[in-house]
Amino acid sequence: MYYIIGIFLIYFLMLPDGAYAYLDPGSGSMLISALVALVTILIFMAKNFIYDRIKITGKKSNIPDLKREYNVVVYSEGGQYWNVFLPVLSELDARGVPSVYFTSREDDPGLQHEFKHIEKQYIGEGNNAFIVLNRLRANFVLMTTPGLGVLQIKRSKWVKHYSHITHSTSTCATYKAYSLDYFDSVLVGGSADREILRELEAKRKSQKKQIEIIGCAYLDILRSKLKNGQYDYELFSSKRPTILISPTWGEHGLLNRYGKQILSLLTGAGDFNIIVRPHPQSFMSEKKLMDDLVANYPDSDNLKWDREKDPLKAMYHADLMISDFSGIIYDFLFLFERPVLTFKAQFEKRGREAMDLSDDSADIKLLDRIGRTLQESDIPELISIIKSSLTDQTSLPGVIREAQEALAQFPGEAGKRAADFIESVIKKQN
Amino acid sequence: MIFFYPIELLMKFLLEHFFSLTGSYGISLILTSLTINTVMIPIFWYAEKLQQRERDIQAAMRPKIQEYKSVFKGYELHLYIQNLYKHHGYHPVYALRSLLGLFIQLPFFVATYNFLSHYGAVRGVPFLFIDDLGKPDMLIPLMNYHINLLPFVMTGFNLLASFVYGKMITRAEQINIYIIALFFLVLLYASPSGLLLYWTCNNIFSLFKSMVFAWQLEQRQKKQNNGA
Repeated sequence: MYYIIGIFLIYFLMLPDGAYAYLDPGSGSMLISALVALVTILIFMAKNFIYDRIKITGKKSNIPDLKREYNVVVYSEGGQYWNVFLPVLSELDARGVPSVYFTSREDDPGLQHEFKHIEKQYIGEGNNAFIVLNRLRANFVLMTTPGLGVLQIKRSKWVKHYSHITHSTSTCATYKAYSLDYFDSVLVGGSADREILRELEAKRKSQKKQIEIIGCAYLDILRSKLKNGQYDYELFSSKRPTILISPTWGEHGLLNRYGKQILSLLTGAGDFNIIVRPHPQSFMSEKKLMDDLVANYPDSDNLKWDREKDPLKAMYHADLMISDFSGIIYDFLFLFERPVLTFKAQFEKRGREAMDLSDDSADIKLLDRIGRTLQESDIPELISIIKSSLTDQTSLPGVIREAQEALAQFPGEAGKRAADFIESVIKKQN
Repeated sequence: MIFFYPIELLMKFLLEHFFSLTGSYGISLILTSLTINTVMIPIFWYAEKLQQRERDIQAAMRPKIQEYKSVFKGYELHLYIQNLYKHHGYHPVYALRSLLGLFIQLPFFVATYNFLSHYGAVRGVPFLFIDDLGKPDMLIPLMNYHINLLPFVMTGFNLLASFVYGKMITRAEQINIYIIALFFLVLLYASPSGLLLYWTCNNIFSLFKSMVFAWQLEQRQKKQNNGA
């Protein structure tokens, strides 16, 4: 409506006397398009202007030397990705490749780690970090942050190569739209991400990236933790199959939708030990629900709430996992090779890469075969479903091999393979 | 204005030339409208092509813009739309390209209007059922008033052309066009009938033009669908 009012106002301003009468529908429509375009342009430019101003108002402490030419820069948004970078940095350090580790969190464990050839620096977060990253001079920049050239982190013209390393066993179909389009290379876990990225490139007619399958770096860290850690103790007094309930958070999360139903059923059956490990975010975003569930189903002989940072303990003791759309599903499968029952949560594709893909990604499709995918109507039969999943695991090893090929190849080699790739790219630059 | 003067001269030349041939100002007005519109066909065609290109690119981006608007907000939304533009090689400023045609036509609109409103020769001249081409027609008597017929005829053709043209554009644009058509009716209601005769001819011409454009578009879409 405002457009129409605006259009008439501008008619009066633009045209002398009643000359507008000559406008036939074609010209009228043209004039309307023009005015709409004009208003759109003005709004668009005003937004650009305002947002650009916001960009440079950040605090400027912690800014590293931006005139310096770095060799390898590894950027982390925060400590949660340390396990992704540690194997790569350790390998680069061992090979004596000059590198720096920039992080946006002062409490990043990486800042305390001892390296010989790797410098570490906290560069601030938000706008401060963007200022640094957007003006960087380096041969190779590696990060887990998606959205290069789309969101706030832009390609610096002095960086020769941008590389993204995936940080989860799920595929990049879950990433937001155009997350990886402007990277020169992507280090992925398995063939599924490669297929997804090639499909997106073909559809968008964008430049072909280098895609290197290196495996899953943080899974390698979990593997070595598992090997060196002490998990071999009794968690429950009586020996029964242990079910780990490990959902994601939010309105589509398993605990939110069927928490009471499932917990009543499992605790009532008395056939199982149960570990409930909610997503850490649940205790912040869904505190009321958590308080309610903990009060109704408190710790007991056969039920434990697990809030430890390290997920390995709970996983180690579980014989079967019940989850929804949580990234932990494949971690459990690859590390322990035990079945997972999945309540398929509604996956919101809008705004994500999955929207532009012709089919569901491998991580979604495989859920049906690494265990059963369940619906609300299956809940009354849950006990018998669990029992049959625990006894019949004949097809599981084959499915795990397939899933590993698709999502996380080369166990234990991610750091080495990433370093090989980085060195090969830099070598070609010289 | 001096800028429009050459076009006004051209109109005067055409009108007087046709008058010397036919001896009727009414027919001369119709022939002048026909001539000017015929000469303008290539410009209309080019302008329409530019506008269609703009519409095509907007249509191509629309589903994604709607998708992004449904999940992103504020700065994030702005960045995603910016990226979409980049991906389609588009910038909102490009919308102005489609205006080229309008800028070429505008002087003709204005000059014609200026010329016909001050052209004394048609005053007191009758044509068919119109008593005086220099005055409103007042053809429909209603109690003590006389309602002008030509503005309604003109608007009728304008609406018809809008309806045909409307098949090529979005619903919001259609509504705008209909509102503009009705707006002209009010605005031009009391204009001299000579002027309205000329405009009615323009609108009939425009109707045919729209029909051809709509037909062309339909053919193009058919071709695309067959190709897909």
